[in-house]
Amino acid sequence: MDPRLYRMRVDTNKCTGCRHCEIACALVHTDGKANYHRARIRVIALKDRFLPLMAGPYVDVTEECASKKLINIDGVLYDQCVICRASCPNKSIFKEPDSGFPLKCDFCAFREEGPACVQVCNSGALNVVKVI
Amino acid sequence: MANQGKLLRINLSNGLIEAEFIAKELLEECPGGCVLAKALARIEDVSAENNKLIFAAGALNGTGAPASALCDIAGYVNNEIVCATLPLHIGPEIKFCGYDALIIEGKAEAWCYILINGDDIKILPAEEISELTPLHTEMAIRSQFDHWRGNEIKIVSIGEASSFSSLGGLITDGFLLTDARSLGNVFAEKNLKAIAIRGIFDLKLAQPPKFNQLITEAMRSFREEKKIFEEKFFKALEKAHVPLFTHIQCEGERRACFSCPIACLYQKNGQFLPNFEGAYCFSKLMGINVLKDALDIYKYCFKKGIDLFSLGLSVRMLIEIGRKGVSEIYLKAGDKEGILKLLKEKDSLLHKGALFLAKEYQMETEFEEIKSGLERIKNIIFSQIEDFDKKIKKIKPLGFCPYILFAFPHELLLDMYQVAKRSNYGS
Repeated sequence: MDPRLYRMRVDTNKCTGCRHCEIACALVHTDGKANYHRARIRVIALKDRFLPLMAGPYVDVTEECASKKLINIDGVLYDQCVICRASCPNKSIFKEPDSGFPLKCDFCAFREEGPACVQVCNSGALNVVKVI
Repeated sequence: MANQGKLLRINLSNGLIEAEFIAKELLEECPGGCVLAKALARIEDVSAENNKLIFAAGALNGTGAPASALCDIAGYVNNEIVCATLPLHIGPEIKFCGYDALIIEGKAEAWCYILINGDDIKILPAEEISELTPLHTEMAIRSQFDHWRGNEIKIVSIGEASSFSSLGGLITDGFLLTDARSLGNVFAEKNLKAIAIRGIFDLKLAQPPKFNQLITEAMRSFREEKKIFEEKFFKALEKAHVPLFTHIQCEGERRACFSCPIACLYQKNGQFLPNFEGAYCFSKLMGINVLKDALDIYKYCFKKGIDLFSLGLSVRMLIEIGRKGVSEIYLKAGDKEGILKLLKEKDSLLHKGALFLAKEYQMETEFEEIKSGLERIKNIIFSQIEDFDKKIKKIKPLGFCPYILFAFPHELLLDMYQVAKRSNYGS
């Protein structure tokens, strides 16, 4: 699946917080290591909902990135870098726990079936949509 | 093996923390958390004197197998070894810390909590948080970390009630366990306020491609037949006639344990609502069928850390005692104010527990009858599945939540276990 042609649609109203997507991602990107720290998708728990975040592909983001500020969600301050799909080359949020190598979502391009996280998402929170 | 092959022993008396290997044979004989917790309790000779607490996560915990997130705690309460089941995410976190089980022994001199952050394991003072509600305890522990790490830490804690009431319950990540089997009191006896766990290590599977294939296919068929599953599952719950749970379903948003497609827990405004068993306690044991009344009691229980099933049994015993006229105590079914009043009095009979009341008023037979009610209701629910007792006997020891039988055939679940565990599977 060519990541240039597809986008992930996330419906936070449907996410139940089961985090199956994290483990499915880790399992297909490693040699069978179930460890959510190796996943390219992570589910962040907000006050009343869950927010699946993908480590997006690298984009051209400079030091002057407009989203580099704190935002307030339910009274908690978040570094907005966390919310912007970890796409910033300056601040990789998801890293391999042992090597520190930044993790980026590749849409499971090596799998004919498409992204593993979408396949195991039973709530319908994750979907792949074609943009072109 | 999908096991880590190790256990962590923490002694609160002398602060000693040791990792030990678990015999491979034991892990093969006891694949699920409940059987492993009970087996370790027997091996460790758990008793009132040594007062050990044993947490055990099953072989499939953390692997991504559906409905396999349950973690069990064994301890010694009322002259027997009891086992309570922790839902949500604590079991997988134990596995990601590199262990299959935790054994907590001894007693701390002052209130403390255990923090297991990968290989960094500490017994920390908890004097400042000892009087906090479970929710505030969780917030206080998480506030020491940045948002990501705080989000990853999973916590099991007790409330104030465990120190003075026999109804002491357990709370995990904001969810009040319905039946903690009085293990909250064992926490309090040890001066243990909470256990916070964050795992960072890998959990290796024997045959990842085959396992992935099985899970992916299973989830695809689940999605395709989700409507059929939901009709079947919720119809079965309806057969139990707990209308309060229907109200909860309408009010709340569904929440799931780790990698569970069923998502049978409910939250409203970020707070958990009682689960099916909790609704049963209100409806059938306390006679409370109005959602608002049930939630008023539930909120109080959550704040103080009071076990719903133990409370339900106590309330029901008081109702029965009043009905029989063997005492002047009188509590009507559905009397929310009466229950809350007794709950707020620390030395009330309600806090003595149903077993005490049964013995005091020679009503042991009635007590046993009331206690077995939940099991009978569950049998009604599962009777919608053909040969349910045989199937549950096969999948429960592997650590699966029995509700998953409404979604997947038991043969598929057995296959998942085999693929995760055996390296020579299919050869």
